[in-house]
Amino acid sequence: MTTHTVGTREEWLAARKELLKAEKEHMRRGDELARRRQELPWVPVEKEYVFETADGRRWGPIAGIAR
Amino acid sequence: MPEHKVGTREEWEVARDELLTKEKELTRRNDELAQERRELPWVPVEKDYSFEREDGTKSLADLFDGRSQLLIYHLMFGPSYEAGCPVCSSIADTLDPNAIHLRARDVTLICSSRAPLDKLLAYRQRMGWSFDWVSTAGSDFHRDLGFVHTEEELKPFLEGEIPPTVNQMAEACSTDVVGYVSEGPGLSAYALSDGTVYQTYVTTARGLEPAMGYYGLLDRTPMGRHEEGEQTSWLRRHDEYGKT
Repeated sequence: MTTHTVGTREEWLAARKELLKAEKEHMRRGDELARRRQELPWVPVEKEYVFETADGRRWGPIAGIAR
Repeated sequence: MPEHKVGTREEWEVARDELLTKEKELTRRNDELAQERRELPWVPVEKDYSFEREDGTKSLADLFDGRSQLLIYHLMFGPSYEAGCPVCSSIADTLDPNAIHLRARDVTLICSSRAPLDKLLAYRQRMGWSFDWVSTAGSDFHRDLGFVHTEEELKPFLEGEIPPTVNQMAEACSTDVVGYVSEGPGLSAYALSDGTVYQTYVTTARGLEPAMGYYGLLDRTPMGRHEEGEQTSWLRRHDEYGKT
């Protein structure tokens, strides 16, 4: 026998529904934080970084990557 | 110039630190919920379900494959579908490479669907997945978990205006709306102890987001998910992006 609490389907469902409320609340809190993340100010990247890619090209300054 | 608020590195750091405090709170709350999930009572599964797997007919206990825990993703691929649901397929893309890591933690991860096994295996090959995929064939496994709906139950939904996403997905699966929405997605978890299988956890809808890796990543991009106001889903099967 398992040492874990064993229950009936009804007992499980009651506990599961309770937990679901908490899960939904947490989900909404996550959505709010995702929104706040998008509200962070954008910081212009002013340093000129150089990158090397697999095909041997060198990219830089950084603006060149977006071009 | 971007329309977004631009700031100095110092301004960004102040705002970032504030957000970090909230992110840590959320992470700790997530840990608490995981604990609460594990504290749910275990329910012995008393029905004898049978599944069709590549190597024959299997019981639920067989699906553990020698491990003590089993996670099943209920992938929407009903008997009338010609291909799996694109959203479920995007979830399977997240699940597949994780199965090997879960095995190292004594968890077997598989998918289960109601379509015949040969359809599932052909689609698995197309998608390049390697997880075990079982067909519930004629058993009530998905129905008992609440992932199958009868036409009678769907009546109020079918009589209303069908959301464009549902039409889009039904078409993508080469089935009709009734056939498509008869299936529901879900994740269920089981423990095997002394030969008894226990159901421990079940979730659906947004409870599946941990298996949608791209959402967590999009939540960290400048534009986020930006799905508001979109009538249809942007998600495609991974081999269908760029196709019309």
